[in-house]
Amino acid sequence: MKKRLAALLSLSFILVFAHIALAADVAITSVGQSPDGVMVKVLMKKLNIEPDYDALMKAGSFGAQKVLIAVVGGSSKGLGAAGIDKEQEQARAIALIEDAKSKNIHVLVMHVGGEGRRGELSDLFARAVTPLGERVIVVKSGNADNLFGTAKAQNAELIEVPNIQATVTPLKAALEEWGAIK
Amino acid sequence: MNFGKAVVLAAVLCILVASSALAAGNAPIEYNDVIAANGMVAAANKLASEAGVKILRAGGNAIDAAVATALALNVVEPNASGIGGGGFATIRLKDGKIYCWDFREMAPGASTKDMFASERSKKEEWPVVGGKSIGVPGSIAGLFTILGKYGTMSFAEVAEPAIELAEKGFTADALLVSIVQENFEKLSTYNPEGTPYTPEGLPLEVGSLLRNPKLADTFRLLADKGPSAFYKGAIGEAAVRAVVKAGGNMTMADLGKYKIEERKPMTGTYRGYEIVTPPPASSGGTHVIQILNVMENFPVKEWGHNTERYLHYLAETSKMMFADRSRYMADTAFANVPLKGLTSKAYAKTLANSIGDKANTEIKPGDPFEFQDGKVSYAPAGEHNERYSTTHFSVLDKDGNMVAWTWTINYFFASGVFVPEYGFLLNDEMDDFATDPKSVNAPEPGKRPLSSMMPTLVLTPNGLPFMTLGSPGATRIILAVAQVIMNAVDFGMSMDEAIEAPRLFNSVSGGKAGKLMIEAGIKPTTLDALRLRGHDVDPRPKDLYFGGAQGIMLKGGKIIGGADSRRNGVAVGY
Repeated sequence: MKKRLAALLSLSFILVFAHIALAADVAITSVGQSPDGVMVKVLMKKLNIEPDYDALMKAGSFGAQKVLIAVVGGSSKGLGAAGIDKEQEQARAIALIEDAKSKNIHVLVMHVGGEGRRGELSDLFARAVTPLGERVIVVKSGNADNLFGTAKAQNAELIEVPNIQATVTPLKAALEEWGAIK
Repeated sequence: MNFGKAVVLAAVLCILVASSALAAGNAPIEYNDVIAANGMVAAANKLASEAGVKILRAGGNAIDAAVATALALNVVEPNASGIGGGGFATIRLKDGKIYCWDFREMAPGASTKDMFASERSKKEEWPVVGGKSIGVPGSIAGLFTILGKYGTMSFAEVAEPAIELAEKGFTADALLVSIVQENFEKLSTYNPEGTPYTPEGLPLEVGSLLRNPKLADTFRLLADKGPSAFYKGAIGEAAVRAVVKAGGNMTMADLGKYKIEERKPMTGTYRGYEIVTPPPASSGGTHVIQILNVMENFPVKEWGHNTERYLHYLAETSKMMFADRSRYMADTAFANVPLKGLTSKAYAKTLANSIGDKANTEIKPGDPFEFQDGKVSYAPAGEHNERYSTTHFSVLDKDGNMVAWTWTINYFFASGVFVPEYGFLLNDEMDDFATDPKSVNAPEPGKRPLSSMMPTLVLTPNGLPFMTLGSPGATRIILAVAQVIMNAVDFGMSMDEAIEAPRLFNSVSGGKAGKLMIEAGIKPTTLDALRLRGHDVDPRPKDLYFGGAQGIMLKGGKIIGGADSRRNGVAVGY
């Protein structure tokens, strides 16, 4: 019995350390289950980074990541496909970001969908997580009413860019500053 | 009137407010009829309508214009239809002869009844995305067959406006960009190198120029070599490569076996007007006749448009129809579908008599076999997930030739699988099969999946052209078309007014009534009254969920066009 327990414990350690070793420096999650998180994942390729992308990433699942990118964008279709409602999604995202902050993982909030990715649902998620971001990068047309400017934390930096392609520069700068790009 | 004046007349926009809706206490219906003297195209995109009218002006007939419009839609509304999909067309020629063509996709030879039954299939969404979701496209067979039989121009001539649009490009609007964004994940997964809709691997932006020169070249190649360039040639080989690369199993032999079907249209009457619409593999035609047959038993004009009583009876009818649809509908080449019973006025009478004052929550299918010869054992068709994708357009020319054409690649941006060498998307029509292997609508080699598409013609009691119409919207198509017909026939609405009026939708799932979806514009007290009858009312905004109908009406010697604001529909006449 003791031998079995020891074997199980060893296996657990191996799995835990393997997870940490395999984890990327950057994790991306969706806040609202739109495909916009996938767009940021594609952008990361331009920076030669292979991030951990999990649209439904939960608190407690961080490994050795240095940065969490929370990509805001509500999609009824996405929420439906995930089998969750907006309240559950909001709670998941907040818990995840709080967990990241408790582990000194930098939190970058992004909104890349522009004007088309605004509306009641997206705005709900934006208001919920923007105040928790250390930095906020938005495509300008999605911030015409300065929602992100008013929602962000006082000491957080807001960076507006003209289009999604242009997010690469401030994204790279943030990741370099936070040690996710050497 | 000379030609120039006719052109001016075509530009006349009638902005009207419906007094009938005001009388019922509902919000006024805002509508924009387009009136013309010589011909008209009503499609989901202005550029496509203009492409069709360009052909009409050049002397082409409605069929020439229809093929031109279809090809242009492939360019400017690539999310909804194209040569990688399939569809149906209903045509009435000026001599009164009516034809119905089914160019719906067919399941590849490797298909099995249980191919989508596994948990893995469910988890990985095999019926919806990637290679396994792709049926053998029928669109190219449809375009060439219909043009060859009834058109007057060559494919090269009618393709010219679409080639120009694909080559020179057009400005991407907010609707198209939002649809690209919403479907980005599958486009990115299967085309990481990008597509015309995802340049450099990211969604195109509002206001950017969308060009698809490869598609222009494909249209040229088809004009040069004919449909064999797809079914036996290089375009097909590239499509098969794309299917296999995305995890599917399709062969050139599958493409070679594709067969377009001429169907005997379903016909029915509604208050004397003749309804002409496709039979299975479209379920829509049969069931719109069924709905109208039931509603004919009620004095709906007396009740008033979108009044509480009208909506209650229509909702109950809708639920009974959907219960029958789930039970009986399938490809008639593989199942004995009780078409005669389902469209029988006697059967409809029994359904009408069963409607009470309260909403039914448990809905059982009826027995239409009792109203036709013989009875057979039957495996339920089951439910499947059609979307609001698809597109419909209507054409009418100066000679009275009419076309109603509905085609699709199923979900917006289809399977996500793009044929890069030739610039088009491949459908995910296998999703319209049932996942239950016991269903009559389970996949089998060569089988056509069940559809709701129903390009419909309505003739006056004298047999003269009255309307050509249809809609996308999956199962909502059936209710959309039925309501547009009733709006025109019972309430005397013009074409666009009939299209723009608020709609309802009420389906059935597993024998249980779904929510009664009511579109914005109906007064809150009506909704409260429906709740008192026991309906689970779900008020919804006016959007493309309820379909995107396009229609053309002949009334008082005028051609009146309507195109749905729920999409980017525009009717163009001359």
